[in-house]
Amino acid sequence: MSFATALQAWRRPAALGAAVLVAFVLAACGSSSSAKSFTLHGALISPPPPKPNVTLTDTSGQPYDLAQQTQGFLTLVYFGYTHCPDVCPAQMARFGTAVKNLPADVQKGIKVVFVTTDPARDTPPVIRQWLDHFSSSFIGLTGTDQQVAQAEAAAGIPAASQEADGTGGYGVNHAAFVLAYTKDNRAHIVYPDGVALDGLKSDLTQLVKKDVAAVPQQAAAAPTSTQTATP
Amino acid sequence: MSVTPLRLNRGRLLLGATLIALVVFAIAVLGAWKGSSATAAKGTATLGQLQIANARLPAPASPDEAAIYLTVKNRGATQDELTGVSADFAGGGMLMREQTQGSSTQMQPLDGLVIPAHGQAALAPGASHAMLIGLTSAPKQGDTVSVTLRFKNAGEVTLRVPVTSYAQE
Repeated sequence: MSFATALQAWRRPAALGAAVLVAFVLAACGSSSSAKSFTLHGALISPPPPKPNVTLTDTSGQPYDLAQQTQGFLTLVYFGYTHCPDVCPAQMARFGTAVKNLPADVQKGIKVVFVTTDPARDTPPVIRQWLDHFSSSFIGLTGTDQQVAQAEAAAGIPAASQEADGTGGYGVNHAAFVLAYTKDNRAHIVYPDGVALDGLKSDLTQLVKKDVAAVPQQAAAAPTSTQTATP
Repeated sequence: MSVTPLRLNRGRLLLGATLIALVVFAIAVLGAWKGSSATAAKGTATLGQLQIANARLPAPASPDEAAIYLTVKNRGATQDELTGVSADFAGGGMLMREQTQGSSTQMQPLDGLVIPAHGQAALAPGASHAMLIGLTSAPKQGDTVSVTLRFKNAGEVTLRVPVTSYAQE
């Protein structure tokens, strides 16, 4: 089941088909999440894709082995580019604010990783300066076109592509959601653009404290027919 | 020659207060009559039948591009269209929209934002925005900037736009 289907289902819950095992649960405003029932604010992905096993270059120009260096952390990965004036800064700002407002012990368990889909313009210093607007703790990665494409493929998302934006520059088409990898190195949940700050903070806290146990059980498969065909 | 001091009595106080009130009222009326962006609240403007509201520019993280969001209400019987945006701190501006197909989001040029007769339209995060490019200075959160909007029928209006934060969107 692909991200595409998951996101479509997220946007039109009524269209959930039997083959789609994606559940999106929106918390009612003001509802408190008790320890027992945890309400999730992102989209569940099934089967959850594995964390990419790639080595890219960080903002100080050093090799960064994504799998190794984020092992044991709730790892939030976002593929975007810095010349994007709408979705990318919005996502990073939201996550930056969410993480900064979490208790220290929760913050310690999170790593946010931005991977550029525009290595031509997004050099390490450009990425660093951009990310520092949101949080100096965010990790920024770049690489060759091939390495970035490899990372996208490994993450199970469509390869980014450039499109002239009519100003002489170009926009980059890319997956606009944040992938949340729990300690099992799988992205059970993704966050499309627009998830409210309170919901994010709640999710991140639960995911750090309970890890995969915080991920709600998959929605029960659509009821199958109980009628048996009579021969 | 003796100078007779002006005595303040109840009558004169009342007259004075009334005059002040009338002046304040006149200024308010004059301001409303002039309308437009002169005395309008930040992020708002009136241009003919159009009412622009909630215009804001989240402080850009990129040194080169910034986005503006807003709503436009059309009180008139004729459809209009927001066709352009400009600012003196930007080399250019254009309208863009986001389109998500499957799991890929694309940014595409938007010719114009149609504002239906007796209706409204918005540039909203994740959907569309006015993009300013070639910034010559970086707006900081808390600043107020001057932005000009161009409409097909109603013409141009310049308004004061507050610089906000992406985290608030």
